[in-house]
Amino acid sequence: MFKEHLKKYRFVFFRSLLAFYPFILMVDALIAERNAWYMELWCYLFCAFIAFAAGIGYEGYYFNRLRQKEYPTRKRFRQVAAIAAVIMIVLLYGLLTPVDEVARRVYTLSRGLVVYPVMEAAFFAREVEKNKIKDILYMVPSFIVTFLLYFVFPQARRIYGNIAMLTLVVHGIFFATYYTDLSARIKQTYGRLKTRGSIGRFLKAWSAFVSKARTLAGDLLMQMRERWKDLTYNFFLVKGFKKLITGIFRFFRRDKETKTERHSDYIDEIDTWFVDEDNADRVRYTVRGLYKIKDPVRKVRYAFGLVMSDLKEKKVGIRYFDTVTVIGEKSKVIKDLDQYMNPLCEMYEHVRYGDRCDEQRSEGAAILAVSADTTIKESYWQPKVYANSDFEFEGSDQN
Amino acid sequence: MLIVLIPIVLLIVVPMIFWYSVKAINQYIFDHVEYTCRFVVNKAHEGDTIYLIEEVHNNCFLPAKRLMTSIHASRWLEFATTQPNLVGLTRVVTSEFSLKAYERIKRTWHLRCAKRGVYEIQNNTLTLASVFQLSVQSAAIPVNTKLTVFPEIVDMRYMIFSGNDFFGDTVIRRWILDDPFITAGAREYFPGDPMNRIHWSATAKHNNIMVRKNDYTAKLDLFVILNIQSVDNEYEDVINKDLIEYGIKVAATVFDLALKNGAKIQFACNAGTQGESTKTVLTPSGSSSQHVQHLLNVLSGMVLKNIRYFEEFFRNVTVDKKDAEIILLTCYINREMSDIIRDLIRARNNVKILLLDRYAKAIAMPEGADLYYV
Repeated sequence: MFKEHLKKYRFVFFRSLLAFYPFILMVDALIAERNAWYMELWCYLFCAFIAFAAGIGYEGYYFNRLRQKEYPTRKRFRQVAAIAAVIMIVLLYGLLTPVDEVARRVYTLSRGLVVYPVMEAAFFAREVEKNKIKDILYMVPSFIVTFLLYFVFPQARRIYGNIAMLTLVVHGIFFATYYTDLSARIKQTYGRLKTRGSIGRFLKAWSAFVSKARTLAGDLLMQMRERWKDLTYNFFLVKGFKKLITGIFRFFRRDKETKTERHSDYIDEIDTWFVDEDNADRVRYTVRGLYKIKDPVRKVRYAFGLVMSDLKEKKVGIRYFDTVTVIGEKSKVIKDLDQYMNPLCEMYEHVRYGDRCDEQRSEGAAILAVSADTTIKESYWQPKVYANSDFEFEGSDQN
Repeated sequence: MLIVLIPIVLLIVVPMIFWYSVKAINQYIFDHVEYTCRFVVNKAHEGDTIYLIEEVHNNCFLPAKRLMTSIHASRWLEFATTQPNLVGLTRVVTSEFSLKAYERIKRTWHLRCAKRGVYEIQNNTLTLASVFQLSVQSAAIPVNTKLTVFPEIVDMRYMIFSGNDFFGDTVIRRWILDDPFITAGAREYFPGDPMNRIHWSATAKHNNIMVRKNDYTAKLDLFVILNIQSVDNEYEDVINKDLIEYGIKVAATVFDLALKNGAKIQFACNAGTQGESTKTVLTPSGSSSQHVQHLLNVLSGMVLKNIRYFEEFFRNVTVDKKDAEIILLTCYINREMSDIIRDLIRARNNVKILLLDRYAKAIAMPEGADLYYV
């Protein structure tokens, strides 16, 4: 029950986390005087990541809602260029400022960009005292830019949102790594946790929970690493990775029903569909694959298969029950294919019914198949059977 | 040295790497997007609302957030409330999609068929833009979907058609068997005549046993001829297109009525069709629904262009035509046409002229031909 509920409302759950997190930080900072900082950092990064994902999701939604008529345009390019220019200016500013100041200043700017001023008080309570006025001054222009971009130029909203989120994440990491002396901070935190009183005890209990979670996460990472190794060693990297990702998606989205969205012009039916794995495991016919085969009989079969797959792509209308003769007749619609198809069909019939072929003949079949492959790919032919028709149109054939 | 190199790397190389990787990812997603587009039906009538289905499947674990398709349809297929770009006779309708991983969207468009014709969508353009629009992939996807829009059926019941006007039997002089439904009069009883044929009132009147005498009838074949010329001296393109379009509608109505009445019908026109625009139309005679569908197909694909001078065409197609019901759909009548009609009447044909232009004058109308302004 809970699982289903979580599945259904997982995005709402994450979003609410994101919305409440700054307040949690603030309260926490006020009560605990900045202990357990690493937990905050991880949670913060997690939330920033979710914000980023939500930004991308929103972007898609917003894009659909806008239903822009022209795409992409110079006008749009100008917006992107303008934002890129702003970023470049910020980076140049970062380069020109003293090295010690870069991380903090840029990070403050980026925080201003995503309208998270409340984090200022929460996350860097320790630095608040000495940098408070400076930080607020840095944030003001970026906050104005944000306001303008969000409310005055709504066209730029989604691109800007993404960039802002991205800069927040990148600079968050930048800042944290710059200002963190890990061993000293851990010592400091644990020292603070030894304080007496109810708050300290409470935090200690939570700290145990976090360390347990960390151990579990470490185990999970180790498992993932081993799995990754397995994949690498078994030469199934791409396939395995794809299966892994597909599996994750299946887990979350298989049971999802078809969603219907009604618009004024059209109706959308949205569902998630995974291509059948049996289909994915089918033989792929390629010229490279043809030259790899050594067995003459298999080579002729593969050569014929290569031509058949090409004809199928061209929608020549070859069916699985067609005989070799019928296939030969049907393939005549492609110009100049006869010269390769006739001897190839003959060779294939020998192999198909006799299962015998010498090496020289198989090489000949391979050359013919490659030539046929090139001819088919270079030819222009439109099928007469249309996607929606169940009969031939008479009007164009008679009179 | 490092002071010079680091900014160069940061400003040029890193953005370039980022750009190329975005391009590669975009290409990868684009290769995994599957797209189809088709009309739900392949036949419709003018004024019908039909559906066009677009199906996009993102068969990839990465999202395709900014995907756009351009449907290159005919301008005579009206999309519900969109404001599409009209380029000559082509209507370009853009359709945006935002697909998550492995997501499939089936989009059903409402269309209204504004005009008869054979409409084909051969290629649609698929465009995928990357994040921040750093890369745009585009390709023409073969669609090959076809729709035949038949002409509208005009309501002509109160105008010309009554009783046996077009589709009834015609009395003839000699035939092998008489028609039991048509009574010509009464005659004297001969041994062998069935009892149920006795005309009792005539028997009482003549004081002799009289029987009903039936007449001989024959069902005439319909031959519809459409003159594509809207005015007398018209050498190629039709000048008054609306009149000819109306003529096509009237022809479709006649075909429809013929099908309902089971009459044999034949059609000829001095214009070509979309498939064979250099040949005039002359179909065989038939009464089946397939035949009528074929005729409607011909009408749908008719090109408004005069291939052959009508008088010459009219004479050629009606040579040796006897005992037929000829319906001539034309915008005008001239002397030469009147002469041909006169010859046709002499050859025991019934000729009916449906004048498409209400203000046209019928010059030298031959006796025996019926004239209708439709």
